[in-house]
Amino acid sequence: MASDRSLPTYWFTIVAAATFGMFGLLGWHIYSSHRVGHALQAEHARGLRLTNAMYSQNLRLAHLCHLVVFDGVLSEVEKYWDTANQMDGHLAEIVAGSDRHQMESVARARWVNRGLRQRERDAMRMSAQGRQDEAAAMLQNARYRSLMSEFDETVDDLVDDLNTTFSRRLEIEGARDRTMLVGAFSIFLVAAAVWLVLAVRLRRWGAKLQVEMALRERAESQLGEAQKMEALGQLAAGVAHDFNNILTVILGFVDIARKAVGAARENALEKIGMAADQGTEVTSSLLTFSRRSEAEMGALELGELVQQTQVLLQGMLPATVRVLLESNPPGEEFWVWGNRARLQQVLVNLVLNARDAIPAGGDVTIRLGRIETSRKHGVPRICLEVADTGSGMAPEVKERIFEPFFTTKPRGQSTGLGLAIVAAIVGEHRGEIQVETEAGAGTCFTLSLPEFIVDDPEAETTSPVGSRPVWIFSADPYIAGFIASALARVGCRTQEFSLSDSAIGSARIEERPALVVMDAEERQARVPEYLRLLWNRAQQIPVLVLSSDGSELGEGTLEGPVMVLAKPFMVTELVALVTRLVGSDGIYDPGSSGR
Amino acid sequence: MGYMTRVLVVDDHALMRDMLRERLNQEPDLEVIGAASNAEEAMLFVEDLAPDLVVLDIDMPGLSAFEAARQIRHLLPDTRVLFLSAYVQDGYISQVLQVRACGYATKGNSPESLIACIRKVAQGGTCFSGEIERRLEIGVDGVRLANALRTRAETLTPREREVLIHLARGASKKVIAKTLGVSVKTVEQHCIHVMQKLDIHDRVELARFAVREGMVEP
Repeated sequence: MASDRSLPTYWFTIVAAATFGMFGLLGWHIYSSHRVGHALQAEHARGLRLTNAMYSQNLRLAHLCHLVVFDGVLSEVEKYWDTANQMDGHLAEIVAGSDRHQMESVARARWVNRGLRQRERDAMRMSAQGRQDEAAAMLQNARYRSLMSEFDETVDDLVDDLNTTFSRRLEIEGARDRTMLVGAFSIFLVAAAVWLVLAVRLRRWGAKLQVEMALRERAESQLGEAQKMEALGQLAAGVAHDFNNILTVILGFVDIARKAVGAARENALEKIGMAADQGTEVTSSLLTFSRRSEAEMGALELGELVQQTQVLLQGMLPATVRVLLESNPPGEEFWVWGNRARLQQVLVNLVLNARDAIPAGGDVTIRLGRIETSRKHGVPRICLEVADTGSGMAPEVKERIFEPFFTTKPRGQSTGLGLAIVAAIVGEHRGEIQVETEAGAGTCFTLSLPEFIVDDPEAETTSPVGSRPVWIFSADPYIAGFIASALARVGCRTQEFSLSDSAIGSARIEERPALVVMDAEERQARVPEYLRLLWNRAQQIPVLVLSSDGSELGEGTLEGPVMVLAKPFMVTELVALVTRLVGSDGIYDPGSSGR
Repeated sequence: MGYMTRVLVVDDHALMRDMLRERLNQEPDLEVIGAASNAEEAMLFVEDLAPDLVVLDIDMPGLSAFEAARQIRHLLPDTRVLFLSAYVQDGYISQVLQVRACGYATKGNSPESLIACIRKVAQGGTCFSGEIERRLEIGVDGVRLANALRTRAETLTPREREVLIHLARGASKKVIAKTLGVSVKTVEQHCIHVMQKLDIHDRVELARFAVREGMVEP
């Protein structure tokens, strides 16, 4: 089901739209409420300001009229007209800003104002004509007073109307707010629901993905093993062929040996031995290949591995394909730290790949060398090339060859994992792989692996290291024996002693040792004492102390040539150090030590 | 005539056993005083004959070769043990060192190299090939497989390892208890510890682990 495997984008679109819609609506609403609230407040304040002005101006007009009529201050007439005009202006303003609910109060206010102003103007005219009594009566009669109080009531009504209108509009705004909030909340609910659906689906997809990944990992490892089995199957055919030959030879010579006597019998037995040796060679190569120990990494010599693999490969290649071995410089050893079986698998895969590239026959060259110039992380690298004289690869094929399941061979003939596994194994060994190819000019795979530096690793039969012996002191005879054997393998003469005062005191000093190796474990505190005792017997004998704690041998505490090798250390490290310290002439040379 | 080293050969492969006996007897300084087909039988020989040196095949049915080596060391501290196997495996190397054996020789090599190895061990030395030596380090607790090479299997005690091997071979707890001469409860305790240490809680997986680590042959 496609929808179960991929996340449909429309779900995300819905969620995004709902979320944006909700926030957009809320934002717009906050803005518009703020704007409308401000407008309402301003309008209400203006109404109140106008009504207040009308109160005070009405009183001022009455006062000015009284001054003109009763006190004869004619100069106030002009002020009166100004104020009356202002009053008209306010009224006109109120008319402009009022809605239909206020129109009645406004019309009444205008009518009362007109009545009052008419009477005041009449009173001022009578006063100007000298009709003082009539004018005073005009301003004091009941009608004028009732109009005055009616004006106040009308303005009060106006204020009431303003407040009512303000409240009504606030209510309308509140209702709008509620509608908005309900809308936004609905959108929020929609968004939350979609998020929930999405979260559930994501969780389900995640679980499925994990199961699929686990399945894929298992399948990949099984396929890796299957690829090895595929190569092993091809090997088996070759090995069976070799073995049949060997067994035929053995049976034949056994038959001869039974009947023959003397030299002929000896000869037959020798041939049987030779055939068996060949068989051993084949099985040992096969064993290293089929071993399944993943953690087994160790120092190994690539030249030897290549030679062993060649024995296996011969059975798998047609007679038209030659495998050539080259090493540069010739006879050199190339040590790396790696897993023998895995690296052999790399070699078999690369050579089988080369074989398939030269169906008509040709040469496959395995070349070993050291990359001296380009040093990565300061470690020289060993390079292993597998080159064929085949048809080469097109660039688009070259780009994809290390992809798992990529194959140019017909379906069913290849898993397409061979080179992917090569790349993975090279990666495990902190190596790099490059491929050079050109259509018609063959293909060359170049592996580079960090060199494993050992000092004279296979010096079992080399010339003796030093003419004088190395003394080994240890409280544990097993360790002393072990170290002695390890040093003996590189040609050191050794003598083992128990680590004690009496052993040091009684060691035969006639033949002065080249070096003393002292395993100080458990008796570390007494090491200075032992050293003094030793140097009393033979001055300035160089001592290599093996210890997990060298604090007792701090600077200046001892006067003599002493060096500490901190535990734990590799046995090869100890052998290399002793070999360097003792040198080929058996003389201790502290300057040659690396530690 | 000098001292003859008295050798006991232990191998479950009859042809191999016979060949070793014949070949070693040809050497002037070696004398094969017995040949056993398994570790139990070997222990009887050891008790009766007190050999100088025992050549012990690693992968044999019944009592494990390492347990036998431990018993020999306890019984006769001066008898030297040299292990012999068709394979070099980290799991084996670790155990060989744990029982403080004097050597570990491989069957693929020529009889001459085996004889040289036996001689070296008989003379009080140890015999580990360069291939093995390169995998070892000397630490506070003695000679051991280099730290980087050690696996979860190395966290097991010799007894737990023993139990795991028997389990992997399909033996029931009762049978294991009988073989090891302990109670079923003790075996059950060992099983629990093994499973905890290896974080494997399934018998089939335990067997696969043991095969992968080279404790038993597939």
